[in-house]
Amino acid sequence: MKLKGLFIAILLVFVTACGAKEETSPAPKKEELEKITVANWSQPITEATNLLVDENKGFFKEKGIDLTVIPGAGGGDAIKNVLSGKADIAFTDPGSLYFALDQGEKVKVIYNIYPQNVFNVVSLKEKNITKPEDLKGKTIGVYSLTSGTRQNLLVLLHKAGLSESDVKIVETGISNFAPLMQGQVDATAATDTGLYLGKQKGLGDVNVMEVKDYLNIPSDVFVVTEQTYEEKKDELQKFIEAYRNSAEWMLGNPKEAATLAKTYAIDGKDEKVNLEIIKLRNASSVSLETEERGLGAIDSVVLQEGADTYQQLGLVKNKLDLSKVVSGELMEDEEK
Amino acid sequence: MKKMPIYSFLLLVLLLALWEMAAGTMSELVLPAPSIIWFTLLDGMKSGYFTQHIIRTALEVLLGLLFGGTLGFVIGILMGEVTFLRKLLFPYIIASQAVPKLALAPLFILWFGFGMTSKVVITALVCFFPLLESTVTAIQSSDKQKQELFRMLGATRFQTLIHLKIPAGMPGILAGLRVSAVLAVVGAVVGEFIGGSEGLGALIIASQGMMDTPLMFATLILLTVMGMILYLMITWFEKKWLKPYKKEK
Repeated sequence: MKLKGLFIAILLVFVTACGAKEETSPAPKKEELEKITVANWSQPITEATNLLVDENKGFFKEKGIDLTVIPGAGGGDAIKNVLSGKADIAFTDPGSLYFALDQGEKVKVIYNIYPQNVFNVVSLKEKNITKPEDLKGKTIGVYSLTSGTRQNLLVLLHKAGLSESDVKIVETGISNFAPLMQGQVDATAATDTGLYLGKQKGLGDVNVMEVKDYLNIPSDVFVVTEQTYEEKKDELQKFIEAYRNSAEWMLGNPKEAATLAKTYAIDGKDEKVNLEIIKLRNASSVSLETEERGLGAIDSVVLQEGADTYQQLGLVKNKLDLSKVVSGELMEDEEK
Repeated sequence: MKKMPIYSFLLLVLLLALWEMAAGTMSELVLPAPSIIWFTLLDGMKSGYFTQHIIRTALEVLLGLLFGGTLGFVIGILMGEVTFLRKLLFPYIIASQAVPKLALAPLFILWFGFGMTSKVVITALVCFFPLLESTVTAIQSSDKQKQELFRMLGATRFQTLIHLKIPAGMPGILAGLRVSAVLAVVGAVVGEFIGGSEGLGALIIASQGMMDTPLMFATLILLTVMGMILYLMITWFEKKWLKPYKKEK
């Protein structure tokens, strides 16, 4: 009889627990708020702290938005979640945007999150790799074959007149500085935050080639479907206002953001590391364009140049017309 | 033989000492020392950093095990009892189990959302088969002479199942449950790898992004302990359950 009681108790726990746990950000007066879901390219990580702290800071709530952020494993995931209707806005990279457009998907870019290209190629000093031409015949690590690290490496090689067949690209996983330190690869394609963390873990003297010196396409943009764009214009405009406020807050208060990241970001264990990562992301949130036109300003010419390079590299098949995809309308309305 | 636990412990100490020495010669990113892993684990436990992740994964494991186990047990009984059902369903069930769950995980996330449901479904699917298989075998292999005796005493099919087949098959069924319990941890972690922002599996992915190899090892230790606790709980339950039957012998 005791066992029977235990079984019933477990069942009751299950019934109550299953309904209780869904990942929505708690808001006190949900009936008054518009629900917006952002599909992120990653888990809730420190560099996106401004998007994760609404419970505490209320940037989105004060604009009437009940914000939910769902995780993803890469920019492709974020777009997929938007196309399948799981989310309204994708936090994604231009590469994934180009792939979606190449497949004929109807999407629009509404905000430039990081106008600076944060990708780089890192090698140990003794390898003497200082310019893209030096990569010929070398073994280079990338996070994965579908990641931005590979695509940006190809861009860098292309600018030096090299192609994928001139080098050996190997998939090293996200901890890609370990194979570099072990000498298993000659160079590794990474990001600014990855390089900072690698240096913290004992990566010695290195040569760094920044992809932005060759092609400065944005690192991440907000993308929506054309349907969402038409149907939820007001909500998207409010979202952009709120996101811009949150980004400005992170730019002005990196220490507070680093402290909050300890609670809200899955990788926010160390406040000092959080602060450095937030500073790097703050630096990539601004550009000459944003200084003139405000945070989030989109330069369709640069995005077009990126799309053309991707086509030349064979990463996309079709000629993409970014002028039809990029929309600054929501930001212009806000400025008025 | 009485000294075996001591030898086993000494072997662990020796391995840890060798590991500590080897780790001293290379970067923490490549191979962190056991002492560093231990302090990372302690710090995380003290500061509460691990708490929400442990609770999340434990809930997914328990619910997945409850769902998958119950379903495996019930369908196992039906398939053990009804030959027609067994012949009809077995090829499909084997096919469903041969599919690598890791490949299906992203689809489950799309179908069942980013909350706990998708992880529970993946865990349940992983737990289902070992219990189904062991239950079918246990029901089918019950003592024919005892079945004959039940029939002679006028027992119904249901009475024979409840009072003979299930109790007699319990050692086999619980062995299946033990396997399911250990696999449940793997199922939950796979789900969290794909679409998790909370849980120990998500923490492993985050630790790779943070290049925090000691944190990754600390999380793996927590998962191992979780699997072992579940295993031991079922072993304890098994001893309690089987005690009266052993006395009979």
